[in-house]
Amino acid sequence: MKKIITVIIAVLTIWGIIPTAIIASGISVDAGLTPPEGRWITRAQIRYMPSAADNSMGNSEMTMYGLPIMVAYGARNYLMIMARQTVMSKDMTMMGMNSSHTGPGDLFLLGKYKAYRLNTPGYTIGVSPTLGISIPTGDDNFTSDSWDLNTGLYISGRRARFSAHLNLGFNWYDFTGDSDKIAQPGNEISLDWAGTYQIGFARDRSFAPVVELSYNKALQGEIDGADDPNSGGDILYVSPGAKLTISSTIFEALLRIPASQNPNGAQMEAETGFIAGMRVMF
Amino acid sequence: MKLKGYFLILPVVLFLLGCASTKPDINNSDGNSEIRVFEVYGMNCPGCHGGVEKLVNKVPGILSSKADWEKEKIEVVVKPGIGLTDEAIIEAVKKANFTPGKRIE
Repeated sequence: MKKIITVIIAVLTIWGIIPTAIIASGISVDAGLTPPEGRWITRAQIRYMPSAADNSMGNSEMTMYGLPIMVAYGARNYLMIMARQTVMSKDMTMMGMNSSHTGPGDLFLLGKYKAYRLNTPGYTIGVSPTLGISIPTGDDNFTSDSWDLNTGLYISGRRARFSAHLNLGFNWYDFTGDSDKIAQPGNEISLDWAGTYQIGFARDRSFAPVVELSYNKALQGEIDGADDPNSGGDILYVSPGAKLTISSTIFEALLRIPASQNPNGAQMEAETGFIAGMRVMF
Repeated sequence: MKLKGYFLILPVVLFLLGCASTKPDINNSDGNSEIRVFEVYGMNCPGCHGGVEKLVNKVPGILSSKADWEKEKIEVVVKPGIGLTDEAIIEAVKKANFTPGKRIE
C-alpha cells in the first residue's frame, strides 16, 4: 500500500511540477552582456531532457523535449528586453503504462540592465542584473500555473580569447500568491558558470569549445497546501559543448551530464541530455 | 503540427535569416572615398561585428564599415568632402557597447 501511495504521489509530482528552471540555463549561461542598441537577437533551441527512476517507482521513465524560442532587442545600449516562449513535449512510462503530452510553456519576459562594463585592450568585464516574469499562459502540465518572478545577476569577464560568465538566479514561484493549482513547486536558486575559448579561423568565423557548470537547488514544494516530501532537491550539471560562429549566426551544442543530484523523497533522477540550437542577430 | 516538425523547420528559417543579414564586404570601389580605421575594444567574436557595423553605417556620410574582432579595429568608408567628424563615428561605436580607441589611419 505504501508503495502504491508513493507511486501516486510521484506521478502527481512529476506531472504537476516541472520547474521552469530546467530550461532556464544554457550555453554560455544563456546570455551575454546587453547587446548594441537597435540589435535584434533571435534564438531557438532543442532541449532533450530524459529522466528515470528505479523499480521503487515502477521503473519509470520520462523524456522531455523543450523548444524555447527567444527574441531579444537592445532597446538602449544599457537595456535589453527579451521574450521567450517554449513548446514542450513529454513521453512517460510508469508501471507499464505509456502517456505523452505536448503543449506550450509559460510566456517569459525579461529585462537586462547594463550596470557596469569596461572594455580595454587586454580585457572586458561587465555586470548586468536581470529581472524576469513568467506569465501563466502555458499548459498546466508544464508550468506552475502562477506568476513567477525571476531575478538574476550576470557577470562576464573576457581576456584575449578566453571568456568566463557567471549567473546567479532566483526563481520565486507564485509571488502573487493567487495560484489555485494543487501542486506547487518550491522556489529555486541557481548558479551557472561557463568558460569558452574562441578560435578564429577567418575574420567572420570562429569556433569555441564551451564548458558549463550548472547548479540548481529547489526548495520543497507543496501539494494542496501541505509540504510535498517528494519535491525539491539539488542537481549539478557538467556540460561540455561548442559554439560555431559564422558572421551573425551562431550554432551551439551542449551535452548536459548530471554529475551530482540529490532529489528529495521519491522522484525521478535526471539522465544525460543535450541542448542544440542557433542564434541569429540582426 | 507536431513538435518534431518545428524542430526541423525552425533551424532552416533561422539559418536563412542569418544568411540574409550577412553584410557585404567594405565598399570603396570608386577609389575616391576616404577610409578611416579606429581601434575598438570589447568585441569577443565575429558575432559582434554586425552590431557595431549596423550603428556605424547609420551615421550620415558613411558608405560602409568592416569590423574585425581579432584585430580590435573597424574600417570605415566615408563619403568624401562632407566634413564628417571622427566624433560621430566614435559615438556610434559607444552606442554599440564597445569602446573606441585611437584612430590609427
